[in-house]
Amino acid sequence: MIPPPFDYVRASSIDEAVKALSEDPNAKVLAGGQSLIPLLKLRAVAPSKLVDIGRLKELRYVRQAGDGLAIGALATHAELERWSGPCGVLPEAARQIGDPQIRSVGTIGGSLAHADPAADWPAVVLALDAVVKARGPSGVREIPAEEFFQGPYSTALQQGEIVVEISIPRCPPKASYVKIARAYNDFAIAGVAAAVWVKDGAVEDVRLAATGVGLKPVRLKKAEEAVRGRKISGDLLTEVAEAASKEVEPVSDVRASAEYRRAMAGVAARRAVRRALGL
Amino acid sequence: MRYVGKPLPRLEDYHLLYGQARYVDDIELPGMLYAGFVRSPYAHARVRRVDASEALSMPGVVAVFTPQSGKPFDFAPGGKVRYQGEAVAMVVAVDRYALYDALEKVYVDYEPLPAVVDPVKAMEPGAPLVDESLGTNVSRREKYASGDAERALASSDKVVEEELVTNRVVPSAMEPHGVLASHDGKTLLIYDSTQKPHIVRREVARSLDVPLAAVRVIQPDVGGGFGSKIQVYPEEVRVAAAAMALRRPVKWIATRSEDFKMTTYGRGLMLRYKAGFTRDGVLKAIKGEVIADAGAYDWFGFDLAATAATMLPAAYKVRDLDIDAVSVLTNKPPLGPYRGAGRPEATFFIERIMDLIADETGLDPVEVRRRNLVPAGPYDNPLGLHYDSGEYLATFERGIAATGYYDLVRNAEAEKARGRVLGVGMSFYIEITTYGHEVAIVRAERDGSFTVAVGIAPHGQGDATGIAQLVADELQVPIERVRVVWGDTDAVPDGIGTDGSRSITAGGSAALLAARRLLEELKKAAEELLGGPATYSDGTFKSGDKSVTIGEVVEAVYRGKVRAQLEAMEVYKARATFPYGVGVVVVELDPETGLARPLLYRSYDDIGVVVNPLLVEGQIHGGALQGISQVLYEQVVYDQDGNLATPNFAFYHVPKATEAPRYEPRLAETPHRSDHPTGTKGVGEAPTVASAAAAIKALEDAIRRATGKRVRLRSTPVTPEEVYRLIHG
Repeated sequence: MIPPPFDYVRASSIDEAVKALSEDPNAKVLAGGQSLIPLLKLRAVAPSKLVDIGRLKELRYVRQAGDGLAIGALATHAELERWSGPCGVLPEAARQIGDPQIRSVGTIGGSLAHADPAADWPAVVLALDAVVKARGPSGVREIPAEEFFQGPYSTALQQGEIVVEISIPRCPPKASYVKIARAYNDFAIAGVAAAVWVKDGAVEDVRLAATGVGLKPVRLKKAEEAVRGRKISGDLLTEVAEAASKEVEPVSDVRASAEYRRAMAGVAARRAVRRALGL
Repeated sequence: MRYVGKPLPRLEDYHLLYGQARYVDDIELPGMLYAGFVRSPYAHARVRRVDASEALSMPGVVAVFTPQSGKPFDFAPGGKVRYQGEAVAMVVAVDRYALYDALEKVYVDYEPLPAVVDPVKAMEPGAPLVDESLGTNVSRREKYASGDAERALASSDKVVEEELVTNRVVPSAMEPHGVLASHDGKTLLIYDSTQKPHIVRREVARSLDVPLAAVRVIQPDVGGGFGSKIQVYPEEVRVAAAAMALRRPVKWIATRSEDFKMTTYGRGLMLRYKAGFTRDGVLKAIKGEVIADAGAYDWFGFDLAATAATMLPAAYKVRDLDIDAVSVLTNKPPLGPYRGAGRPEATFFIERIMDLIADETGLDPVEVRRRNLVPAGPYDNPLGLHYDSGEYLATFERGIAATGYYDLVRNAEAEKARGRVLGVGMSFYIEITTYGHEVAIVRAERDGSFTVAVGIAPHGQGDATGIAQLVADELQVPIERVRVVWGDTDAVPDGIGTDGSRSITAGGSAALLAARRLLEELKKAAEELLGGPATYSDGTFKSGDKSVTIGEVVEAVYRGKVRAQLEAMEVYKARATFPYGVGVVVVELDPETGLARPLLYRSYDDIGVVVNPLLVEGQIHGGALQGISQVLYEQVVYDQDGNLATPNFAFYHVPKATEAPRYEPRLAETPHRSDHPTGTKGVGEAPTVASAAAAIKALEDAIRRATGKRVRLRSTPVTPEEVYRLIHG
């Protein structure tokens, strides 16, 4: 890799990292580097400074917290892949990210902060109603996932802020993430995460979120409406697919046309709900 | 012990497996400089001016070569760049960081011109001209014809007309291009990631006007080529020239993105045709043109079109043909040979035609081929190729049985009932391998071991193991006593290298004949030592009750007791030979998404004598996946301005182990020898030739099974999105 020149700071504490970032609007955080390094390699970005937070062990954890989980920003995809506690959708999604090499170094916090419109985690954290905790010059700020993603590679993070934790308030009893991609380790053409609560053979509550089908990951609220409170049946799956397809606003690119992405959003939504329900 | 025919594990892998491989980029020389190229962001532009002054003033920059620097730095010939990524200047610096920063500071004043991207549009009057001096984008057109195609079409029961396309692919060798050159005042030494060290040597000597004797090219370990390292690129000559001019070693290693910009691309051929056939499924005539999307320079475009045109009849009886081979200039990187180089395309075209005849007549695709196949070789194909040996019809029948084709079809039907959509496709292929001369030197060492130097230049195929097997058998010595060296123009003065599935056939025959001659020479010396006629077996000459070992003979020569040549060089002139066989692909289709993945590749090949079945199987695995991948995964996309929209592996899919099918290759029980001393026909490209045609049929079969509609697939790749549209309208 021959990147453009940059300064480098290896932070020995979160505070030090926040300080280094606050001083320089063109500084960037380096965690696992699985998105940033390729961009540097291609000279597509030229940050003035890299603030390496990779050694901050205190940000590397996955643990139960109440009915939910607390995930440190530096938890790697591989660590989440091995997670055997509640929120089984996490290992299911982690397995579908990149390849073993990427998963062993890439981090969930890095993936969320990078906000690639086709990344996998964003859909999952949206469906899980997660809260992103960011630490900045003025302390910790809690940003609901719904507000965190603002556009392609653009988030609610302000200068000097670092993602430190992803907090999942309650693990849904049934959840699944389905990714439709052309081949192993490719980006999603469409990916949908589903979290479902069932009562008396009906869908009591549901959260659906999609990636790869727009400028940012989105909640599929109309598709949720289509199934919330409904009896579980094959028709329900058809309707969720139709609603999801109608709802998304994908763009055409070299991987897939908007039309195909729209169709795949429906397929992914149907499969995610079906898999979550164990049908 | 006889070695030929045995599945010997490769003898040349130790250093690769132990992390001791040396690729060009691993080689460091004292005082080495790094070279890089400024590449055009435009597919087509006039180059008004190149300003290197700022780059030259940067720390660590040693030199910048621009179009004003003269030959071989004749960038932007005719004052134009003709594809995105074409080099316009070369920077040399003390390290890569200085180099890459300086590359951004060479200012080029471009005047963008309209680009011509599509070869069919490029042929239309009024299209922008890639090379104004030609007055047209048609670089070359030749007719290959026999019989009377027009009349045969007119008398056919049915005539079909369509276009078949094999779109461009990126060769994607694991190691990108790279070269390191140094000049010590005496020798211009070049380490090059190439398939053809001797050709590089000739080209550099010619371009730089230095004697061949003063140029040494070493091919270190090379991480694949697949045909993309056949061309001697301008970069290779320019790095050598810079090393001479600057009197310091100069290294250039392409990044992956750079490789995508400057390497020769593969496939890029199209057939526009009319075909006539009888009600009974007998192909009567083909009239059409093979069009090569040659790219900005016609390095290979025409040759590839011509190969595809002359191989189009395959081993089918059709003799009324009228095929134009046309190469068309476009604003893209030049087209080049890619595993199979014209034969996968020819096979794709003719097998698609056979499948179409099956559809139109309602006959089984196997039956259609049966009715059209030439029973056996030798056979003179109507377009001037002499097929050497083979039982085409009988081997086809055996191949259909051996691959279990009908069982696979029945299985696909049964799976359909269980909700799984499979597709089965089959192809018959015949292909042409081996050309040109090859050189080998066998040298006897004092202890009765032997060094074999060959002009072939394997880079992963395992040919050195095959050569050692052939030579050990010929000399009747243990294989441990035979060392094969290659990839060094000092070890053997000439050769062509490794391509065209020729290495074991041409290089192995040269080595075998050299060994035979050396043995004759040593036998004469042994008879002189023994005082009478001798027989030889397993390393020992016997005459009456006296004997002498082959090592003792060599020793005696060195001690002056007897005179003999201890080295034999063979220049072997190789003629073409024709392997053939059957490939079968099974794919699984997800009809809801259009995604398909290959499950199984089975084949039945007559590749002549098999020197090492393990090496053969290795070739079949990789080769089959490359053909399948061309259908299912690999898509090069340009926008209308000639910008490459798939510029790296994030966008361009090279299959990984996760996409690979199960491979179950079988070889003909009674192969038909070629008339080369080795009896081999080559296998490096055969599976790629066979598999794309089978894979597209398998996908078509799966779509039909899913929909009950008769769809027709005409071009590669077939994207999941296209499949989705075919299924869902």
